Amino acid sequence: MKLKSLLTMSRASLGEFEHIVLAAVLRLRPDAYGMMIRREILDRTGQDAAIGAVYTTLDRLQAKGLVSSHIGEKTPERGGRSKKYFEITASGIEALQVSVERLTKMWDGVLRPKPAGGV
Amino acid sequence: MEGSKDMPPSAAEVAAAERKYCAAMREYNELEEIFRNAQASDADMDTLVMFNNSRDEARSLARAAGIAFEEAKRDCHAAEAADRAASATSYRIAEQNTDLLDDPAKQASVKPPSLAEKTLYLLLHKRHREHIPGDLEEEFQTFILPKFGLRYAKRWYWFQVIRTIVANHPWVSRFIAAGGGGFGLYQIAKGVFQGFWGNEFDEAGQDPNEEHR
Repeated sequence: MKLKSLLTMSRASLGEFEHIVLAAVLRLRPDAYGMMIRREILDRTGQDAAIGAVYTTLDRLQAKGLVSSHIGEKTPERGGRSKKYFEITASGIEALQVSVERLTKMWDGVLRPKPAGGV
Repeated sequence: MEGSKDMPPSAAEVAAAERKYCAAMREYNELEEIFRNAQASDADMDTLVMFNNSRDEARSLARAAGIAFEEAKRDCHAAEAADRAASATSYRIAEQNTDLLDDPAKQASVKPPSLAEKTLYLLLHKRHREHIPGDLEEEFQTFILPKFGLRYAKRWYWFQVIRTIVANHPWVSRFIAAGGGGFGLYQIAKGVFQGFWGNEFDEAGQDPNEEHR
């Protein structure tokens, strides 16, 4: 029982980029594939993530069971290559909620420091 | 200058500054002449001091108006030059794209640099060989090529290929950081071992599993 709860906690904790990618998959549902996820991150956060980094993170999220994937259609503008669509799972939504709650709790009641470093 | 701080002065504002400067100079010249005439006609000291003060005041105003006019002229010319440069860039992009935009079939026929595609294919893991090149080509065709033109789009593709390789094989970035040499070779050997047969690494070169230990 203890081991199970430890495993659940480990799966639920998300790194910053994992959090961003997972949120992008949730926003783009049901049209979330590599390029769209990259564009969504770029448009919303200004972070120009490498497509390779996005896929590495998606693989990791899939290994944790937070996203699932399926192969889509082949299109001419992709040089006849197929798309790989990602879908957030119930555990993924839960992990995202837990992550947001943790951040909110940590920020609750804290005066945000100024960018220059002063408080 | 009377224009707002964010916007460069318009040509009309520059002309207004020039008129103000000319009027101030005229006034100063008139007062200078009056002062000289007073000196020549042996006017009393109080009158001379009064004329001298008026002349000095007019000279200060004329100088300030002159500075304002020069600044307005400079800013206006800089803004015009920037506009001309932007137009030239847009024109170049439009010129490059004229053929492409007129004919969608032609646009679709433009492919990313083949050498970059082959390099990417060779250095990607098998499971990504279908989707990553597909995503990059779609972004190349849909977003980058129509917006920035062929030359930029090709550069962009090469840049993305390099970034993708670095993100998937951190030993490449370690080699660059090490600058070659013995330490570099050690890093490569270590990186090759870890990169191909070991763990997957994230973009920052950290072991993704480490944060959960």
